[in-house]
Amino acid sequence: MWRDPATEREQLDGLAAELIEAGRIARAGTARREIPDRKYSAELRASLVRQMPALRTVDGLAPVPPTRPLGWVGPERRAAGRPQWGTRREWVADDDILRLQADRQEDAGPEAGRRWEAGRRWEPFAGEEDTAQETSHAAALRPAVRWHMPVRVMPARWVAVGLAASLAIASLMYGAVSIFPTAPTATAQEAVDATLTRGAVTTPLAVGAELKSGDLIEVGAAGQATIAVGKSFVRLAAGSEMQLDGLDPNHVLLSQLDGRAYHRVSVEEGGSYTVMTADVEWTAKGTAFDIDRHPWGSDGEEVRGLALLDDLSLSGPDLSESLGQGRSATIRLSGSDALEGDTTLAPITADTLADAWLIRNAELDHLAGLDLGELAALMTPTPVITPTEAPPQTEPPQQPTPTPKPTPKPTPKPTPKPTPAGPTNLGNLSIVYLAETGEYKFSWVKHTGSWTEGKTYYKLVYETWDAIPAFPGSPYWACLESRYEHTWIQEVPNGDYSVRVQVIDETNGTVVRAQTNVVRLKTLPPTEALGGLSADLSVPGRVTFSWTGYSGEWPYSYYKLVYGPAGSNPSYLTGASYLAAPGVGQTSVTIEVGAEGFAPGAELDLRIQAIGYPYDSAYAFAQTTVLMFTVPPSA
Amino acid sequence: MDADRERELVVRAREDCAAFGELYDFYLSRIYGFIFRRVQDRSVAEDLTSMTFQRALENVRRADFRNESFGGWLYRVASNAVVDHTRRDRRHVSLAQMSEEEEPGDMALDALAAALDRDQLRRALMSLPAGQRELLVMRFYDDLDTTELCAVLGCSRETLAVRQHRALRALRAAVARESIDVA
Repeated sequence: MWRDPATEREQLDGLAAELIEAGRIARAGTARREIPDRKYSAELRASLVRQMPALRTVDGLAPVPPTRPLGWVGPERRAAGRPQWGTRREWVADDDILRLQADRQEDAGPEAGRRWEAGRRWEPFAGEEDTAQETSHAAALRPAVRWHMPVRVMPARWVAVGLAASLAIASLMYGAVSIFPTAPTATAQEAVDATLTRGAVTTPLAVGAELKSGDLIEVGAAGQATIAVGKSFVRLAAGSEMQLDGLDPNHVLLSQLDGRAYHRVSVEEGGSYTVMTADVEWTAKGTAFDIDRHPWGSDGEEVRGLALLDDLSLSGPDLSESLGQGRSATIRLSGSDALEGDTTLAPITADTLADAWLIRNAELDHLAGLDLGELAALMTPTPVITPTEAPPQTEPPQQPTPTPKPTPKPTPKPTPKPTPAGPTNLGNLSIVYLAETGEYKFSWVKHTGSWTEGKTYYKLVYETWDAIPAFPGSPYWACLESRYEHTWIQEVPNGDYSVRVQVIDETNGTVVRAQTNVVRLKTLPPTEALGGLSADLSVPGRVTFSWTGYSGEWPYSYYKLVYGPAGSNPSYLTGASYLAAPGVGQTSVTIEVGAEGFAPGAELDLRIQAIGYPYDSAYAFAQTTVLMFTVPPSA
Repeated sequence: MDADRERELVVRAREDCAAFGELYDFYLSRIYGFIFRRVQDRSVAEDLTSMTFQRALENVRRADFRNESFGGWLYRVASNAVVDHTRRDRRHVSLAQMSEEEEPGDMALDALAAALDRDQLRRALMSLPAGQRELLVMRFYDDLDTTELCAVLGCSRETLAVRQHRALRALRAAVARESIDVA
């Protein structure tokens, strides 16, 4: 019971004490949920630290740490360079590397030799250190290198002649490429939720990162990445792992350790592009192929290669096959990566091609103006999933599709052709219909590349469905200034649109840094009235409800016979229960009296609704009026 | 964190990623918790935390950055980010929903109120003006110290002392009113 203390001071102190205690209890109650995710913390830290300038040293000479911590022998690897299952890599920020190496120096024995230290200075050999201590001449043991310029300067013309001659001889001996630096041959063109492991260090893969032989790229479960090697490139699907073994633009060698990748090959005459899956080599003779490596059985794996454009050959222990365009090969690997069983060769079927990963690659290649080969079949209109082109259903199909979603299709008219090294792909633009407000929610993957505040924006651009939206030129619904605002909700005027999000950078002119795929958005029609719902009580203990079928153009998944107490105006969209879910095309359904929710004597409101799932959300394309109904006695 | 040490780290953080890393390590969980208590959504909290530290990085490298209370400044950026986020969210809801929308920080207030033993005190706390509620929540729930509170609220220590005293007096008066109402 509250008791007034004698003085104001005591009263206020008492209140403060209660608040302090309540704060402590409240913090304790939510403490577990207030701890940031470790991966998120490390990723953000690494991303921030990467933006810092390199450390200055006294001499202005940037220190270069060893590429891997001393004593590190690398992860255990399975055959063909594949890491052991369960190998865990931790995020390591730049300064952590230095700290780690400093720690290792303390642990290492005298054989460790020269050490890199967090203090960025060279230390003498352990043996030398001892000597230095004994003789008190430590400074003399530190290397001191100085430039020494000749006193007598040669005439300039002879210097020029000498340099030219040296370069000519060096070019002949080593080749011009070794003498004159060239642009990096391998770079990350796209990186979403992907990591780069180089030596012992794993960091998030950044767009534009230069890649080196031996690098390992891993793509997260929701990620994607594209690696360009010379004029060739490989798109890595979510969950894939690729080791870059050889990055000569004309002699590319990759090890596909896991997951799926789409390879687009462009090497000069006499060049090669080879992908290793364990001991089996897939060598491109043509320009496009897909390899899918996935678990099979208890501990084995299955690898399927698709020759999508021109030929593909595969070879391995007792294996040599050549696949013509339109053919596939499937091999199986045991737990120890040994080839197991026979190789299955088969033509690529339409079912195989009807695959989201291949469709996405087809769309991207189409936009880039590349020859599609077998994937060209995916570019033809698909009437079933395109509501405007779907023929009216005259009879019920055998198997109603559970969640029909309109999918994007390519524009039929010529469009600007971005090069493969153009904007980063942000993946799909998600559109969700919010039934409660009638608005659409657009969300996309956050752009992780460069972002200049006040100069870089997300633009939600749109066009009518027969054109590709692109800024500048296309109108837009939203312009968001923060990279962290990657969701937008608004009502959309009735229409049929192609929509995408673009990251526009206006720091130096207008540059599209990244963009999502184009998605079709056809606004939903108002719910169509189906008239009344009638009930037939002629059979005791049973009630047969019938209605007029929905014949609109939108694909619906089923009807729902929803019910609620009298006066409830039931709707599936607001959570009403249902007595039955008649399939597409049905116009009647019989309910047994006594079934759940249909007790004798119950006074119910009933209605039929044709429910579909456009834009990832349930929607009633049509519905009957409400039938006020009293359930008859059971038989 | 010791104030001198913090100032030294901020100076070094202009060029030294290790110094910035130390500041980040110290404040990450605090700032994340501060934001999470107000938005109660992990992904939103992560986004706003990222935004806060991104601004921190950009600002410490500026020559005109006032190196007084880095922690307090961070809380202020985080607090503004939460307010902006809540306002943005409101643009996306209907008018019917708008009236039921909570003020930024109300989730934190609810949590603090729920932990109070006395109903009268709970109701009294909820009845205070927004500014006083905010101050009490940051002082007693977020456990911000005086320097941090001054930086977040943009006032001197003396002003803060007066405002806190007034808030407690207002709370005492509200408790008294609640007691009479109950009687």
